[in-house]
Amino acid sequence: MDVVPPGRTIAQKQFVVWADQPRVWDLLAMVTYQQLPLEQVDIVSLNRFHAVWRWGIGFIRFPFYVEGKLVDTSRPNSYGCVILVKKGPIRVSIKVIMVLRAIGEGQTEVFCTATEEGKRTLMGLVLRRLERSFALRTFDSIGARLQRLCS
Amino acid sequence: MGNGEASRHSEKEVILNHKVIETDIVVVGYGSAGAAAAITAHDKGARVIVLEKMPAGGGNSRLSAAMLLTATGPEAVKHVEALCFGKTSREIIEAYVEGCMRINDWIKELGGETVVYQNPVVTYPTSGFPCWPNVPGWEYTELRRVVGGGVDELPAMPLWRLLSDNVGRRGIEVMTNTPAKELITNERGEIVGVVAQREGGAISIKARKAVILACGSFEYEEAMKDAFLPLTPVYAIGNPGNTGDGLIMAQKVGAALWHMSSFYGWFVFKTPEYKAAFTIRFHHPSFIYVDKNGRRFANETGSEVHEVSKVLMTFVPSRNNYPHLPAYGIFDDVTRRKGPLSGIVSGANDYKWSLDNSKEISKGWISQGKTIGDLARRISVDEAILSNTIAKYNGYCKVGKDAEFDRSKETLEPIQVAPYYAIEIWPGIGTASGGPRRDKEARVVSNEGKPIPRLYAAGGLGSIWGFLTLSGGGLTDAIVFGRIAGRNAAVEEPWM
Repeated sequence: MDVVPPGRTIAQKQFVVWADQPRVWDLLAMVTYQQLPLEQVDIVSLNRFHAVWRWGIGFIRFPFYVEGKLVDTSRPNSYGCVILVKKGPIRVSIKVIMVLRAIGEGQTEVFCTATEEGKRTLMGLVLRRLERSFALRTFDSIGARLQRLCS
Repeated sequence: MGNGEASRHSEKEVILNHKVIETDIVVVGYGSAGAAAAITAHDKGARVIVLEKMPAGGGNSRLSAAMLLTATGPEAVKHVEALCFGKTSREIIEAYVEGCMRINDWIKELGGETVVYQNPVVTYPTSGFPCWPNVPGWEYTELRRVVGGGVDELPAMPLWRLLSDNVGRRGIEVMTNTPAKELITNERGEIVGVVAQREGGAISIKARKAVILACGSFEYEEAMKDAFLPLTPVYAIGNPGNTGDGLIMAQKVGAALWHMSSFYGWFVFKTPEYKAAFTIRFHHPSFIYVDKNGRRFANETGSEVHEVSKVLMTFVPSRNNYPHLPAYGIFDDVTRRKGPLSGIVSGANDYKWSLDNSKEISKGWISQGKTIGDLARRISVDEAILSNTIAKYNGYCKVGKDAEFDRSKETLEPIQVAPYYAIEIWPGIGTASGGPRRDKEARVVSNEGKPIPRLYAAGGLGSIWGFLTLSGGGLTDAIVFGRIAGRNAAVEEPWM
């Protein structure tokens, strides 16, 4: 598994967790789902889900439709999904891969990468900063939660 | 439960009174066990007729998550044996594990493909794998699923399509809406056919080689549940056709029974408007279970999903009945918004649970309170006790340690975002393990411990799982013993 998957890289983050690799992988699936700000998650098949993501400023929130598909997931080495976010003409497809590597006694490195898939569009460029900040925030919160759970 | 000589149909009587069809093997029940048996027997050269009482096949398998428990080595015997708590003999477990090691190849032979299953999202109670990491031998097991399946299609459809397409491709006759009623025996005590109901009349199907019972257990038969299961009520969630028909037929020909008190299922919500109960799972961990007095009684995320009901069976001598029932799932608005409480494995009802649970709140299935006290009043639970329970739980979340039930800290999320909700929960039954005792060759065994000639059983009707089970265990029991039954039945010498 390549640490950085093909596609246009939006965001990367690396952190170390004090736990062995299988334990981190098990927590990763749980923590990722908890930390993603998704609502109305509908598990539509064994590796796909639909959900609503509410994004906005202040009290104003707009619902975006999300389709998620689990990809490149293999315990205890990697966990990933492709997320398609849709609203009106907006279509953004992001692939998130988290690669795990044991780096010593009871420590695991997690390397997170978010890449954008599909054609580059004007809308995509406008949304790039939003995607990047969202991905980094999510990686940060996953990392912080994992580190707290394994401290 | 003896020989039932008087009530049995003799071969002669059947031939005189009924329309008679002849074949080599009759398979009763068209779920995964029946399909596996029929395909295998056909491929061994036997002519097979499958009887199914429901309008369509699939049985419980079609409503399952369609996980296939496969084994990567014979060391998996140790794991299965430990889960069976001595209620299933080692030679049967060895036969099962050997079959589990071959399932993947068989699926390929049928034109399918499997992949190792990974959870896309984590719901509670969890169905993660390994299910029993503290039980030795799990390293030699794997959970796989058949590739394919469309959006909003039941998860089991890729597997069921594969099986039913293979049945169809072989020209195996499947008679739906045809419940089997009685086994036919000859003067030597051999099982030589089946009496069934079809289009308002009785038909007899003479089986030159054998009969294979693969018609599920008794999840929808209230009297049997009352007689055999360790607590009541237990609400069924699976195929409504599972009403103990095979059990009755097997008893009449003197079959020994096993695993009668064992069942696996989920926590469920039951409403009289629907025949099947709804399985309940939470998409976010800001929830707890409380008993009818408003107190927690278990580590809510610590049980394997199929065995969660066992925590409801506690009996307290000083208190009447089962003190936890009815139990309630108490949750906050974060969990309410995260996803539907039901819908992952709950296909028997023609009902789509709303994604944000709002429809079920308006129906009154889910109670809502602006405060914990308000919620307590609505479900008639002591307000002070429930408030105290939630305050204590939220305190555990804060320090990351559940001092009462040792719930794992990654699942400790406080219940703190109003409004608050409660849903009544009961034990649910996916599959009852009880049925005729079988041996490692899938032959049904008599009360005297001898195989009943020409009678085989597979699947949920007398499953190998005698105490605990695990994800995929029931489905592979169906396929493995369906195949063993089909293989052995096909090589029986015809009795006529």
